[in-house]
Amino acid sequence: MDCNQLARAATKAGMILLESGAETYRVEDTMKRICEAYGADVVDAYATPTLLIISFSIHHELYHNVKRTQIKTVDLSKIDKVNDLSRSILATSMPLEEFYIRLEKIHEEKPYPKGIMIFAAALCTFGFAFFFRGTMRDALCAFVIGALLKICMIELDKIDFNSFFKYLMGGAITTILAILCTKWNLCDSMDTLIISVIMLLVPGLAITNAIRDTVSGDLVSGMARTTEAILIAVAIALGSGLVFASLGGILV
Amino acid sequence: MINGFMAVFASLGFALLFNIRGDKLFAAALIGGIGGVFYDLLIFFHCSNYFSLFFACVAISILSELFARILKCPVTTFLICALIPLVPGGGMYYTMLEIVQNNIDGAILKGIDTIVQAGSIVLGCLFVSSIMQIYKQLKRKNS
Repeated sequence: MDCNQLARAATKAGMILLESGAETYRVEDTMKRICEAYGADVVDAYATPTLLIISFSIHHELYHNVKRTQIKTVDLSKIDKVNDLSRSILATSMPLEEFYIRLEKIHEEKPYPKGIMIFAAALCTFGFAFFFRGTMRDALCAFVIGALLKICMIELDKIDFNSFFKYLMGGAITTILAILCTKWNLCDSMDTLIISVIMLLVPGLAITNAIRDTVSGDLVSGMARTTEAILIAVAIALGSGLVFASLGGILV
Repeated sequence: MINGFMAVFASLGFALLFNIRGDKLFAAALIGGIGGVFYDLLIFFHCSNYFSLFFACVAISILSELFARILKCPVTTFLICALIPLVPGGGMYYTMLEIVQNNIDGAILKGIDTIVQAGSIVLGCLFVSSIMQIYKQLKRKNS
């Protein structure tokens, strides 16, 4: 068996997990499990949101691999699939080459088509408007603004710049559209409308993962994700505050 | 009650955005809805906002652990989608609004309220995941 290939396969699995938004302990666990399944001993795996390190020994030879990663998208089905795949190695005695090919296949899977994503975002904000005690009119406005915001966010995703500015733009776009809705007397409560649409941008994954990482003792990742969550929240509030501060006097 | 149940749509939307497929999609939406109804019911019975958030989170976490075992997939698949409706986006917004209106006292009040709300959610999750860790250790010892 090619030990370098094993190191590469383990980091690849870790990278897919990390970039799809898995918790740190799951990433480390999966990398360890893969190496142990192929007969490595003294396995050590370390993961933070931006870095992966794996080290193991086979026949008294030591192997390492380091991988720089980025948090990109959230794709919970990839996490599920890599998790299942790594658990099935022992049960099916899968050769390493086949394992790597199947990993590649999972890596190249696409999310839902754009139309469904936009509809999902609209559905989200529609539900939130009712959840925050809005009326039917508010909910319909939220439906439309949610769809528009998602389209804007997809377009912004194509440009490669920092996420702080992206979320700031998201907050600003939401607020402008909500102010326009109020001005044209389409909704009953502007506050409900803005809150329900802003929830689309809220860093739910970062918060949940920050909690779970901190609890399981991965303090570095926990702190990193907490910072990420706070930064996004500040960016959203700042974007919507900027619009209020600059346009509020004219429009409202 | 009905307002709370509307969290189903919110969770379903997020489940779609996070690329969950098949029957897990509906499980995630259902857990989100139950969490929302739980929160609404507790508010209806005059519990404090923090207390309601805490217990809604406990309910969501327990259901997520349960469904993760039934459908054989990671807990976060359900937890993330179901928790999002409870995140204090409203608090964040009102804090910002007070700052823009140059009302610092109000902003501090709202800001602390938001932080405590987020804290209640965190505590609710912590509570269940800590218990699950103890349970796993006990199970390992017995086997």
